[in-house]
Amino acid sequence: MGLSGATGRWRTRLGRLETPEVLLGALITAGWAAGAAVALTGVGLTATTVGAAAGAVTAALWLHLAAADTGHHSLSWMSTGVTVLCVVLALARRDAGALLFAVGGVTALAHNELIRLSYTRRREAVVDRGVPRGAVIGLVAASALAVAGTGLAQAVSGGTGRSWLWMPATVGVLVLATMVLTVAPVRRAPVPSRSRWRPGDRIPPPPAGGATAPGPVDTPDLLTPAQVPGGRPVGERRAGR
Amino acid sequence: MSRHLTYRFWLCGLIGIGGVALTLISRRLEPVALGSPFLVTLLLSLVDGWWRPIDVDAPRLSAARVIEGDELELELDLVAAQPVPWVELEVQLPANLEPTGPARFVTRLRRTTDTAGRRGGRSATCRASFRVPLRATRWGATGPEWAMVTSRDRFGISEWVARYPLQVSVRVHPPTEQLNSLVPLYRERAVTGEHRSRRTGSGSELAEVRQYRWGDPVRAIHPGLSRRRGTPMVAERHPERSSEVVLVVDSAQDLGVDLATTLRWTVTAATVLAERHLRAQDRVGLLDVGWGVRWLPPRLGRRHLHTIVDALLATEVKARHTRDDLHVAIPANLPRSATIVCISPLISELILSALVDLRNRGHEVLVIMPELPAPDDSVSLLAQRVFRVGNELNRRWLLERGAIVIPWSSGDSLEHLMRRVIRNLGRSRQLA
Repeated sequence: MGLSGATGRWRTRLGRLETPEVLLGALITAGWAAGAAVALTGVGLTATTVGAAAGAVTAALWLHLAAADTGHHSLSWMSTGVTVLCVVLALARRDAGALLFAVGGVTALAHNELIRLSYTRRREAVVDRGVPRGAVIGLVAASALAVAGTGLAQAVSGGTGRSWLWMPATVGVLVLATMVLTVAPVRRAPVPSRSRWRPGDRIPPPPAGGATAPGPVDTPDLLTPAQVPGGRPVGERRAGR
Repeated sequence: MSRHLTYRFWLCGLIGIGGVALTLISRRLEPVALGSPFLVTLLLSLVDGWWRPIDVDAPRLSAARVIEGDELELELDLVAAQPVPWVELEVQLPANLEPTGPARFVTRLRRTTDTAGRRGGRSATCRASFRVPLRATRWGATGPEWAMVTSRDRFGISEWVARYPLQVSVRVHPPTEQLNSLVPLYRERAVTGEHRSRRTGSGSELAEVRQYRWGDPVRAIHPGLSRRRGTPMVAERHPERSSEVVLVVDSAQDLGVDLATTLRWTVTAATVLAERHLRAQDRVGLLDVGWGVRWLPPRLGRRHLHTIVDALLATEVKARHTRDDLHVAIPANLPRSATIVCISPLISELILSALVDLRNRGHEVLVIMPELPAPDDSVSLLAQRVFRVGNELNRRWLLERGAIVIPWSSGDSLEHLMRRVIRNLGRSRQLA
């Protein structure tokens, strides 16, 4: 394999990643990595600020592209974790306020969602347009609720110094409301007995291990010598050779 | 079927709960604000509903029989009781079917009105139809194997996975040719067919012209000949009779790669011979000798042809289990008058034993020996030579026992091969 082959393979691989989801995710992660590097300027963690910023952005980008390319859960974990860490580093030293932290959390969540969406196209899948649209609607709803909840908590307790109590309380109320609204009213249909089949019921498929490839119905099965009617076994060695 | 929580559940839970915990420790709002989108996502996914089961309904193929290289379509429906925002369907195919379009779909199931409700009323179900274009690449009785169905909630927090076996099959036929020649009749049946009998009687092919003899029916006198010769002449003819043919198929071993394999040749030749002889009113049987036998007694008719072809397409090399499998049982109801036509590369001990046994019972045994595919470079020349010598010894050993062995090279058409068969059989019968 020559250099041109390897280059071509990499070009193909990167070409597959030229989707809006991957590019937007790359923008998010690179932006927060750069922000974190800039925020850490002068802390003395690194020798050169430009080099550290470039290194942080490259590492975050590499993780993001690897996660989008392979779809590995561990890489997605790491990539989103790095983004969250960059958000914390970028905002913590500036005393940015809870609302900006909520926005940072939203972008980190969006980054993870984009990795997931980009991976749906693997193996030349046909993706219904409604699927990513539904995921984006869900993301927007979650983001709006989180930002609104944070803003509400901040507004209600503004200046009291006890605003931190409001968010856990909001979360607790949300959990309770969810349980009341969804779990409590659910009435489960009676589960039919698996031991008895009733007319009209779907016959369950055979277990995975027990099924074989479909074969012809009207052809005879392989018979052992003992099963052949009147069959006479022939010796395994030929006489007279 | 399995249902579980995805990595996103743990990711959202860890960041969200971590934010709450840090907030409680540091008494600042920022950590929980950072984790709040993750927590809200978890809660919304719970509201959205987890683990919605999906059924695969009515999988069907657009064709029941195709020829290698033909295209067909698999259609199937996914059905759910409730809408599912994220459904993944992936069809798993055997080696002899390949997809010519996408075989993986990501979609959602919306509520549709199904007028064919169970109790006659209108019931609402969620249904989506999918089509997977396929190409049959290799002969055999085959079909799509499994449908992998995954349902997720909108946020990808929960996952439900099921693997449904697809009970649809298609017979992929190897391309065959039209055959005109027949394996010559060995012992005739009293039923009219296409084989020329050695006897004389009422038929269409001229046997001899002779003078009218006492006892001949008057209507046997040929008027034209009699007028030319000036004396009553009779034109005798060979009657057309039918015969019994048993095709012996060697499925003990399959040599070659891709489409150039001995078993494919065997199946192709046996299919063509069965079709031709059944068309000639011969009774045709099938004996598949592998690690065990399959036996179809000789019969007539189109239905029997379908049975034989299906049995041939289902032929495969079975794994050998015990040493007892080395025995072949020849069915007792194999007709004495049947001509045995075996298609085999003559490598397996099983087929050689079976053929000698058939010969010892008094059958005329004709062996069509497909040419072995050329070995690749990894096989040493010495090994190739030893193999060829062993194969030649087997062939000669069978010839000594009175079988007729005709090699069949890949360039030869079946029609050409059959002409050689007819020549060889005629010669050997004259010697006998």
